[in-house]
Amino acid sequence: MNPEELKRRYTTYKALAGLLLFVVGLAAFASADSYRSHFIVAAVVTSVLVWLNSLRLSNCRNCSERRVGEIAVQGGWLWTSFSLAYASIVPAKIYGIEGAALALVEAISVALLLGGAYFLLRVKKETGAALTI
Amino acid sequence: MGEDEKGAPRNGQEVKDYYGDYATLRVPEHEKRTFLNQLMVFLGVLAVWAAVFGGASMANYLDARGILIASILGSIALGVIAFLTGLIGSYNGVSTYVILRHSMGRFGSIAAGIVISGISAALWFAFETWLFGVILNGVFPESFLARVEVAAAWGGILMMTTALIGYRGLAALSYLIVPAWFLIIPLALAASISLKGGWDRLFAATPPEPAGLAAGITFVIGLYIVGATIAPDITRFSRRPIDGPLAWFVHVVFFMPIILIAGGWLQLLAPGSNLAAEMTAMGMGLAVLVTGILGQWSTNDNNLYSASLAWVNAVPKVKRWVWVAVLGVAGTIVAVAIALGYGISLEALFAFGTLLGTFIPPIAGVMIADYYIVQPLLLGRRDPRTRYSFGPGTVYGAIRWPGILGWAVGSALAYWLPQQYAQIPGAVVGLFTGLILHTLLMALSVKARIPYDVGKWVETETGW
Repeated sequence: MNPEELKRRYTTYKALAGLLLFVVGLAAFASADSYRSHFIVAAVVTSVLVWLNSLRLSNCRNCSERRVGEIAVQGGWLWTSFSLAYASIVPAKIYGIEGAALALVEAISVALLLGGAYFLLRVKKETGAALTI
Repeated sequence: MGEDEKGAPRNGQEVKDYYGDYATLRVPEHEKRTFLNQLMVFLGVLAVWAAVFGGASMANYLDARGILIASILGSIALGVIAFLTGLIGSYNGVSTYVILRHSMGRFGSIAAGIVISGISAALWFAFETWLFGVILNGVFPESFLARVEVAAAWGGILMMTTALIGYRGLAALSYLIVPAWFLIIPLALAASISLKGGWDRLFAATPPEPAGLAAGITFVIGLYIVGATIAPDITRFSRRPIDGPLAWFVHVVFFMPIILIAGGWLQLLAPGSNLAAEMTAMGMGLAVLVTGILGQWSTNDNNLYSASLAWVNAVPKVKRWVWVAVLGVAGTIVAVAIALGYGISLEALFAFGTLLGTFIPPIAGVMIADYYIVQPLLLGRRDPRTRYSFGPGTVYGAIRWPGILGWAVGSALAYWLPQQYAQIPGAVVGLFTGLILHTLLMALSVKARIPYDVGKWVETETGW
């Protein structure tokens, strides 16, 4: 496959994932009873890191298919791992996120987690990049 | 470059990778990795609960300020040491034990390999298995299967089993855990400090058995000195010589203090507890299980792998899987014994870290002295890329006595001096003694024309 096309597609996916991570953080911030500031920090840190990686990918000049895959895998792990962090920490009772809000945040986190896993496997298949970078 | 692509050592002969993972050969060019790749590998090693518990054990001896300073200074010292050792690996593309052949001789490198990886990594397996029990006990305190000694027993056997069947997929777990780890732990720490009385109470808290800052620094260095000494094992895969050493420096200076301080400060605020139990109490049991079980499992599996590889390199006639089984069973027994003796008390971990900080740093000192001082200034080998030669037919000393003596005397002083003067950090003493003694003895030997090698060893086709 054309590395430029792969680059564009992966960059788009990652920009979207970064946006969704920001949304999850904001949703947790809005629905938490206490320690709300933690989620603002988490939203900014996670999304910025994923966006930085997508920027790195889009700025990769004359990269081979494999190199595009390597950078995409690095960002893919970031987004998958941060989703896992959200999914496992948001239900903590100290934050007081309950009911529909909790279900929504968890649903987006788990969807991002599964989407991340799928993205990684797909990048591996399309570019031959190793998952253990 | 052509030789590298074939996976050949420096003298140009193509060689089969007999032991796997280029354990005794130069890493070929196509296997080399970037700075970021290596940073992730190093962070994967660091993101384990053992590091948090390591920080927690400092709270028995240091106050909040002491934990902060010891963590930062100890981490910077580790960063500098590993940058220097790591650079040797990235210039030469060979593992620690192969590098040590030049400074300690062939038998010295085998002995150092056994001490660094064969014994230390096996003991890390035991300690991390015990900590696996401590974590599970914190999440399920009422369950029989989560009693520390019971969980350590079945956890150790399970981890050994995955190491035995060589399920490499476990390595991917590290990549899943690392970023999550550095999001979850700071969040949990911030919430815990707030719940336990805030920053004022934290900085007013006193440790039960106050000790000097030097002991804390020695402990921090000891906690990861094995990693710093064997940094060439990973940095040998560097694309550019600076990549791996810089990745090591960044991960230890910027990330290790976060983990140590998280464990230490919380322990100081809630003595007798630990971050895993506190997180469970705050309703973060799922996060503890995710980071604890997956992270611990993937790292500990690797400890056993490294230990078995060191023993295979020392006694190649015994298969690697036999070593995994033997070390796994022995490590599990030790883990259960620690659990029965110490329960969830972290004193055992402090003693272990201090012990490692005594016997390992002199090896790093000898390695650094040989590459950066002895070879260029005494033996006239200026070019860092050709300073050492490896490959079939290369002649090494069987024993290079200045290196061995530097290690032995450095270890003895690192053990003895802190017992007499508590303010002296043993790890630093050991490192500098090894470095200075090796340099002086080699200088004496060269100037007085006294042979510095006893016997000789010619490298075979397998790199042995």
